[in-house]
Amino acid sequence: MIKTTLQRLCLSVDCLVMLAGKAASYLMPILALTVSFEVFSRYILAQPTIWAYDLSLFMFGYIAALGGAYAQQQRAHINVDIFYLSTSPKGKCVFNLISFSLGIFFLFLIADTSFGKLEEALEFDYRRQSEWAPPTFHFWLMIIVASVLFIAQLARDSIADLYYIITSTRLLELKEENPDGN
Amino acid sequence: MGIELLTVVLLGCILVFFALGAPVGLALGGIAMAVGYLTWGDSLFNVIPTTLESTYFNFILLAIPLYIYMGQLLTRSGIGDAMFNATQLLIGKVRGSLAISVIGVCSMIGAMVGIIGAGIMTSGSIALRPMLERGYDRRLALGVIMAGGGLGILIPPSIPMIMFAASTQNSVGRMFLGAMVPALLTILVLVAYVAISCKLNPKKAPLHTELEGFTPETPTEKFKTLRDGLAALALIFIVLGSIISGIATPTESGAIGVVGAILLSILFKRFKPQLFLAAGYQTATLVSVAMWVLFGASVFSNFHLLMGVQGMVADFTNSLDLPPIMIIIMFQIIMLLLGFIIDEFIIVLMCAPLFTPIAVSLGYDPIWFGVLMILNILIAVQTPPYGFALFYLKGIAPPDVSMGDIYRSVAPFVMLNLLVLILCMAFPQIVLWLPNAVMG
Repeated sequence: MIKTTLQRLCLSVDCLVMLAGKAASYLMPILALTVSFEVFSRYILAQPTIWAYDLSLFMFGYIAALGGAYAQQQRAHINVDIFYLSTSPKGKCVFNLISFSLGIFFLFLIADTSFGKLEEALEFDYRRQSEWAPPTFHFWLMIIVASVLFIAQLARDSIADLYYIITSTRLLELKEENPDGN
Repeated sequence: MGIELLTVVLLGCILVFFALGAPVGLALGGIAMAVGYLTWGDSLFNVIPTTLESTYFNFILLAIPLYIYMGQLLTRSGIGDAMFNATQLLIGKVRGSLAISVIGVCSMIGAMVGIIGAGIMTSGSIALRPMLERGYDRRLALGVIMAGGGLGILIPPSIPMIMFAASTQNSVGRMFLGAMVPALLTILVLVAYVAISCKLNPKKAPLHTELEGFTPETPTEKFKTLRDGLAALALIFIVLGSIISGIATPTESGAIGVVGAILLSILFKRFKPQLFLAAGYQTATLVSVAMWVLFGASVFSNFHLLMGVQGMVADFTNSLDLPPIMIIIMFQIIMLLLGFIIDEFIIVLMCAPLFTPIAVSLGYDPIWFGVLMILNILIAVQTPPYGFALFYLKGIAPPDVSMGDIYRSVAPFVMLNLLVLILCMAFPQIVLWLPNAVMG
């Protein structure tokens, strides 16, 4: 019963994070086309746009921040694995629990401080200091969403690690067997 | 808590969490905020939103996804094969030509990709098997893959160079120009080594008059091979030329590169919508990884700078009463040691804001110091036993290649890179001549 509930929880987080990561990755070709269009418009048509600069910066932020949780799911984040690789599977799980706790603490602070900025941005209608002057509230909202997704992914990984430490069996048999015990 | 004790605590925490295998960006940011809260209280958390804004609303850093995307499109559209075939057509009958081609082509692929790990893995997947199948000495084959693929961070456009320029408020164009001559010198030294060692020991590189799959037969095939190779090379020169000539910013030149890569993939008849999306997907992951490291390291760096670490390092270097060049050598040694265990991004992001102002105050040019930093990282990441690039090479090598083989294979190439670093340190004009001549 508990195992099934935990499995469902983990799979739901996996699915949500994957959707957000893939959605962010679809922005990459759009970002490239936006900057290319600005280059074309500025240098060939001699009519620079007022929106491409801000729009491309926002897309850059969305891609970079929202992809964080998905990169964690793919174990793509950079770490120093000299000692980690030579540790036993249970040792790796213990290491993960400690380092993921620090990560969750940092991400919570990001979400919390961004919430303050979101409130300010909505209350005072903060905008980018440019001719186009788009509002900035959605950037802070996106950072909060990205941080919460990242926290959810780390919490999901911690649950899987804790389950392995307690029961010596995997909570989920993943297709790509991770060496770190998840 | 004094800055000295604070620095010791921070470094101790970093060592512990790095040893635990924590994701580097989160660990750096988390450590800075946890230690900062205990010493300064929660008002310190304001560093987070200000760093978020300065990191994500930075037009220079916007070049990073575009260069990575260009590299992904080029490598997925068969550009590596095209360049490899073209060099084989030109120098295929020279002994060791395959290894020489690998250095040239892999350094170009590395330059497109701009990141050491991706450079080595892409280069290795294209070029290692052909060399081993031709009976090349295994150590030579592995060594040139590492040397060529790793050169990516020294040849513009390079992601760590953009990070250096952004974190020290220097011109990306000057940085790229400053690295050009050292990069050419490194390629020259590596090619000379391969040619001489193959001449002295012909068994290392059997001479094949015909390299099946690499040597085009008919004049039409030869023309196509040369055209494709030159088109790829031309794109790199257009991207660099647009920055250096001041026509476009690095970000805009990245966009030019993306469009050029798409046009080339159409030219090579390999363009598919899936390629466009798959490259975008891979790029988004790499960008996200790089930006979370950059953000975490910037939070750490901003906190540490706010606490006065720069003054501490300046006081410490002054108290040593050493000649300025010895201070620079000391910084090089510190970065070299860091490079044994940590990634190129993190070294740049942690060391550049800390050491560069001191190097400038000692009368040195920041571009010269930046290029030395990049050369240093290039050496550190391939130095046994723990240089992390060694593990990338192990990842793409055949299963029977041991870490011992890899250590022995990279040793001569690391020594040659060290020679170039010493030359650039002793003769700063090697670095500064070109940017001064072109940009004043």
